[in-house]
Amino acid sequence: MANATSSELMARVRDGDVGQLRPIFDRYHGRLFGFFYRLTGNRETSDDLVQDVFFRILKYRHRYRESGDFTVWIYRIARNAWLDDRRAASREPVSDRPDAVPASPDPTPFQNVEQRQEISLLRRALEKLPTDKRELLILSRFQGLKSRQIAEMLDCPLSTVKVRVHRAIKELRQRFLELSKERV
Amino acid sequence: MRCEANDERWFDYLSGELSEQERRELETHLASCRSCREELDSLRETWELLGRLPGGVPSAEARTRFQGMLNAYERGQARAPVARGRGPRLIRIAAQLAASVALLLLGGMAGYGMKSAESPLASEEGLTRFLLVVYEVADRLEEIPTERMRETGERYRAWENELTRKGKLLDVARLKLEGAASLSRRAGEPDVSPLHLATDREAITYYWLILARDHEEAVEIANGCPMLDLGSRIELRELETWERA
Repeated sequence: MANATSSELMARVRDGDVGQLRPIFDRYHGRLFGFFYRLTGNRETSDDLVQDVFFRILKYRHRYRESGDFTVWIYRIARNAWLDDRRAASREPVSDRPDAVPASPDPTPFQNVEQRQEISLLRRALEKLPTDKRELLILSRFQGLKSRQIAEMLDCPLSTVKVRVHRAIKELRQRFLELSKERV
Repeated sequence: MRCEANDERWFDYLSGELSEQERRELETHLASCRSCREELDSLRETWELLGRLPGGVPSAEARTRFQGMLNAYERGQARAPVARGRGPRLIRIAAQLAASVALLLLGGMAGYGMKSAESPLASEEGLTRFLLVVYEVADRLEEIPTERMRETGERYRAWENELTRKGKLLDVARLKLEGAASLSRRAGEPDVSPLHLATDREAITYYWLILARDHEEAVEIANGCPMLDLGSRIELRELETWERA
């Protein structure tokens, strides 16, 4: 049981043994949290989104097909959860939204001021990117996904993903440099 | 002039996805192309900077909430066929409208007794249990127009779905008016008498057992319940925790 792949576990969840979602939660909730946290910079929102992903898995468990890549499947759900949350947030009054760009989320005493400022600038630069580019950068840099998996997730050709990542990095750099100059 | 043909390779190079041969070919090219070297340096710097973006740590509550949601789902799954089509008017309407598995689950939870052993010790995870008890006058509900009931039923479904999604709903049940009894002891003898709960008087009709961070959040959750719009009243009680032997 401990060696079962996530795909095998999910097939059991689909067939009614929903308790098998626990080991899937153990394997994925940290990664998913990191995905959402880097996108939103908000811990509470990220916790809620992870919860939403597992709720959706239960809700749509009958649709799971073992022939696909489980990681791609779960990240597709995660992306939809995030996009739906953004749509819902955009309908809320601005004052009710969490800070879009927290100056320094969860600072630790081990980070020095300069590092925190750099991260803060990076967050602001990321916020200035179009949603799809920001998401692509987080997926490609942190989630341990192959470009092939990202292409499958986004439903676009592999070469397109590679070129888009390249452009997104360049645009992030541009935004980061602009913000650095403003600060000076 | 930069070599645009390499635009498709940078990501694979940075993420280590190039094959050994492809990597060697690119590095050979870099040795003789200043423009591509500058491009790579610039990309690598940003790639490394991006890598320093912290990923954060999920809250201690996350697992409790997940467990709460899964426990509720498992209980509901086991009971769903029994509870379908039953229950009070509001739940019936919600059930008719429901297409989601989640609502079947919630319908399935109705009438199911709490098993404390299945639930995590909430207080240990920084969450507290609250009991929400609903008082209604059954006759008054009958006078409400169908369309309004339907609309309220939809909002009720969304409210319960949201609580389940967040793992904050541990249990929900409807309490029958029929068969209520009053128990006491007189001169050492049990005295059981039927309790007639009139439909034109206020009576307890539901309860929800929820998890909340504090009293304020519990009030916020209760306030969101659309049943309040139909004139129902909710009593909120915090559960004490104690060590069991």
